[in-house]
Amino acid sequence: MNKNFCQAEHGFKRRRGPFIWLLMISLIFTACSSLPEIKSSGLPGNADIRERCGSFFPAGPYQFTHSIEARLPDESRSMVLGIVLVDPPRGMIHSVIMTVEGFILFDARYHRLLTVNQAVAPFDDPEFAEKIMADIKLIFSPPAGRLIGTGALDNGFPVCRYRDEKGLTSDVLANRDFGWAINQYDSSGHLSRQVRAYSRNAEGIPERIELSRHQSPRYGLKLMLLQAERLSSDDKRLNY
Amino acid sequence: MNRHPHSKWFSFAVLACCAFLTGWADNWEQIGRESANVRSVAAPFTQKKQMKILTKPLVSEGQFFFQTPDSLRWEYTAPVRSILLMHQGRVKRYLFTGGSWVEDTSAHLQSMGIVMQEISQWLHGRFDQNQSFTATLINGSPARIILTPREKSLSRMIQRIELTLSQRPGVMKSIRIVENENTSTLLEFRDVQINQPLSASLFQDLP
Repeated sequence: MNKNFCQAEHGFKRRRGPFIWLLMISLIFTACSSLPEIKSSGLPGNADIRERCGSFFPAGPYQFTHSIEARLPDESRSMVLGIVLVDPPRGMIHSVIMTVEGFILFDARYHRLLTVNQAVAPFDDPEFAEKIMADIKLIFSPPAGRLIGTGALDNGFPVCRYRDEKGLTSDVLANRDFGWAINQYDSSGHLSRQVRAYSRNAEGIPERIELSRHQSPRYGLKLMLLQAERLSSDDKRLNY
Repeated sequence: MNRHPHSKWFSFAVLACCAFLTGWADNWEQIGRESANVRSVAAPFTQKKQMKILTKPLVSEGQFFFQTPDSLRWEYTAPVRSILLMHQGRVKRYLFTGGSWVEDTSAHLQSMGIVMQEISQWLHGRFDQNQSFTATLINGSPARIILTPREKSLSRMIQRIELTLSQRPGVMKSIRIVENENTSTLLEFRDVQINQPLSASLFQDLP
């Protein structure tokens, strides 16, 4: 992850309180709207924005362990542990979700195709499994599709806009130094999912990530980082 | 000089055999008898989750409490805080999040209730009357009990459960749940306290 960002973050921490509120208010405002217009940015150059957007995602293989607090469609709450192995250059994701007691609920790998190794209800529903994997991809991989624009939103946040072959649009909002967000819109331009990342550590990895789904089934996930390990590209776990 | 150097070893071997023969886990009846004397258990534990995608196990810490007839408290203190309570057949789980305890109302709580009832049966020494698993006693030091699922649907999730018994009558040293050749969960108990008075509120309330 981008080291310059981390250095800048250190000096920014003392003043970050009001900026966090500003970020949250802006994100809430953004969440209420449909696909916003991108204005050409006067401040950083488009190449800088592109670089900044890319810096939020692991450049190579990583393993992350998170505690995941889930707010489910029926408003019930649950906590699980999640282990994810990501290799963005190869487009590979392996995800294991288990209870705190260690019982595996979901074990699946995506590499061109989704392979579910193990799943118990409700994860055994193929549609649900695909949604879960799509959430994981949205959080840990650069958006699918091609970059169709860079610039700034009305609130001044630099943004990179991607559109995939299904017509989904993903805006990566590059907030200054410490926070970032992804707003995903359906093919009609309505906000469908949102990711917010907070408190990047010394390696630039967010210690808290929140995902909310704004269309049925509505649910929210709060991921708290427990462990992060950078892997070598020949790590055997990436290939089994 | 000892003129019979092997005699010491022979004596030791005889003593060891005697100790083994007078152990508490020679047969199901004996295990049941010794377990019946256990009214309460309190023990900290370390849980190690091993999976192929992990280079080192995922380690969790917690505390375990049991009181006859069927009250359990299975509490995790790290890396996340969570408390599972079973009392008079009711199972509840609480999660510590955002600085306070919140009740977990998710569906997989029901399956945890089945697991907790299973553990309660083990603590009563009722291994050979289990409807879900067939039990095999492996004598030795330590003695082990291997539980194998009776139903195919369960064996797809759990290959076997290995219970290692402590030298102390009625005490379990560890539980290893083997899901497949690459995935297992090991719970190791230490400083096990038996028959210490435990407050009933421990199984009904939050800390």
